[in-house]
Amino acid sequence: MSLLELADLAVSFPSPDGAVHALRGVSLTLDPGRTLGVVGESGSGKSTAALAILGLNRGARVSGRIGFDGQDLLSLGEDRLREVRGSQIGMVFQDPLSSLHPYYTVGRQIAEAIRAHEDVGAKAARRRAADLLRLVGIPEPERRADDYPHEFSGGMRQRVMLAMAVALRPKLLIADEPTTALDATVQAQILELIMRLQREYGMAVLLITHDLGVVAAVADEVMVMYAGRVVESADSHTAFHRPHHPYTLGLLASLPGPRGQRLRPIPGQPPSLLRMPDGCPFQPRCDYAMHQCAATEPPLLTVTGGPAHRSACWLPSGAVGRDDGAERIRARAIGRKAS
Amino acid sequence: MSGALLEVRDLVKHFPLRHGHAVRAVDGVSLDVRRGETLGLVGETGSGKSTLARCMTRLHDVTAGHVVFDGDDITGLPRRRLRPYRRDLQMIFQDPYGSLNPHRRVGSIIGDPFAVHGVAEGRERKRRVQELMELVGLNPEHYNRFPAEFSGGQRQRIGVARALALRPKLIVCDEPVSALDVSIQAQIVNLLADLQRELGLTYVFIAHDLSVVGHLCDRVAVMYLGKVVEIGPTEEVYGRPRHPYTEALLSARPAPDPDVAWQPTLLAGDPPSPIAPPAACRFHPRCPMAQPRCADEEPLLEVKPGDTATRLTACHFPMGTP
Repeated sequence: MSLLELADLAVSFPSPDGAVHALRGVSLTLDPGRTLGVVGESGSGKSTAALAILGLNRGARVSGRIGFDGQDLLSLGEDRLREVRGSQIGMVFQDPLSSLHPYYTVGRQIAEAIRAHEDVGAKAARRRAADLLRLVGIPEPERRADDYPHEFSGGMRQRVMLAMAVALRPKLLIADEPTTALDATVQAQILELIMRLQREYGMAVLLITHDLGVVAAVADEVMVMYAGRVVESADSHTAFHRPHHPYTLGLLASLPGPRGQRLRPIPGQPPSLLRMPDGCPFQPRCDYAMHQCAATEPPLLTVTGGPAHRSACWLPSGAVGRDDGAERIRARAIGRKAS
Repeated sequence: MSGALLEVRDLVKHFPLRHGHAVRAVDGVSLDVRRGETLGLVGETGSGKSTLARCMTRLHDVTAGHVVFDGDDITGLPRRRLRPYRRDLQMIFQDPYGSLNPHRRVGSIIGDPFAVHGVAEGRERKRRVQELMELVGLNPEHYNRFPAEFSGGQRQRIGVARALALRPKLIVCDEPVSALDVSIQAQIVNLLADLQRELGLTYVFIAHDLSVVGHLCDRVAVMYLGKVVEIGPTEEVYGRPRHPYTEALLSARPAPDPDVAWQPTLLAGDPPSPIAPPAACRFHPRCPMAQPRCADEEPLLEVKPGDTATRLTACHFPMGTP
């Protein structure tokens, strides 16, 4: 059975200019021990989805179902939800400094997180905090437990956050851009740490990032989001090598390649969530837009790139891949001569 | 005329702190920027790459050493005498939100350099600003709009247009695409490449994203704690790194392909503080190959056996030595 199952999740925020539809009809499943990478650009809704799972979207209208370990999180009361959030779902965010309290030592914060959910004494909790700091690779953990968050570097703070996130052995870790603010060599350390903790604890990981390299390195499955919707989902190999959706193709073609080889950016920019275009939200930027794309928004349907491969695009289901053959199928579908 | 448009010699930039301490942001850097090339500067937080860039454009005064632009030593020039060089030396910044005054119209922002240097006025200025807008892919009819009405990518185009106004010879780009989404980043990277070809520009390109640097730069200089540890043609440095730090930096970045195994060389700990950098080789406490000599003697940035004269490495035990 899946650990996490979102069904038709929608999140909107009221604004003076009308409702902002941050998330529309998002469905996904994540099995225990697996890593799902959620990719998308600013405003695609990837962070909104994470916050919705955690019940942290203040002032939002949320509908649909968030199934977690056999219960619907949307139907839980605040108290019960807080219990699940702290103990069964751990979380780390891009900026650890804003998630740690500046006035308390990190040891105390970790110990309190443990004691909020478990009946353990202060001393035992402190010992466990030090053990956790050791587990995440902080040197001299007993001493560093008495330091304040500002006394740690960015990478070490993210380790502290991870120690706190896994303190109660959660079944799910939600990591929202956990390495985006870090330097490359420190990012590598933190990604390795997340993967090690996942192996040791058997956690499922929901990794949200804009960095396709990070997703390729750690994710088993990939979900691509655009303008509040899932536009493509597949296993990692399929998503990178046999993508179907033109937005996924466009993202991959935008990545810098060998020197001098011209990049192929996606033209234009993402739509405003207040003024969504008719039909497919990607259609105004799409190389392969057809008549029907401006008329009707394509549903997320099965395509043929790999097992459980789904894409929200009107191109033929067999038009998968980045090679010339796939390009010919796409060109034929839109009635264009292949170049 | 020599091949170097800009020469940096033994450049030092310290920011004094109390009690006689200083942040040794740039601590003895020498390099040339050749005419028409793109030189990449890579390194992590605290490596000194942004400070070096600001010294090159004389936005910072330097503590010691020399900056020679187009044959003229501009190191100690007072502000007034620096002005003619400012036309030739421009900068583009990372934050397309923070670097544009939100209360001013875009046309007037882009026209600033004309006003400052008294180059074109009135209708002539407007005409030239609109030409620049066209050149960087902005709609010239948006002349009277405010920065808030533009997206992040368009704002970066505004920054590029402003930098181009006085037909500079050299543009120092400090993380110009780091704040942008991938699809928009590619638009700006292509724009910079096109402009270089059309206008014969020379770039210094600073980025923490090694793949953008690998795509755009002819040569690359790798910095660590205020020093250049390796410099050379991009293909050579990326294909066969000789400094262990370069190797760690390159291997840290996962390829956007799940079929390529990611095997980063993990470094111990965090980069030390540039206030009290380690003695001798500054990388030695984190270096996987460090030997006793590395803690005693500072390695010089020099050509290593088997390398061409364009390739310099500051390491006693360079990798890939035959």
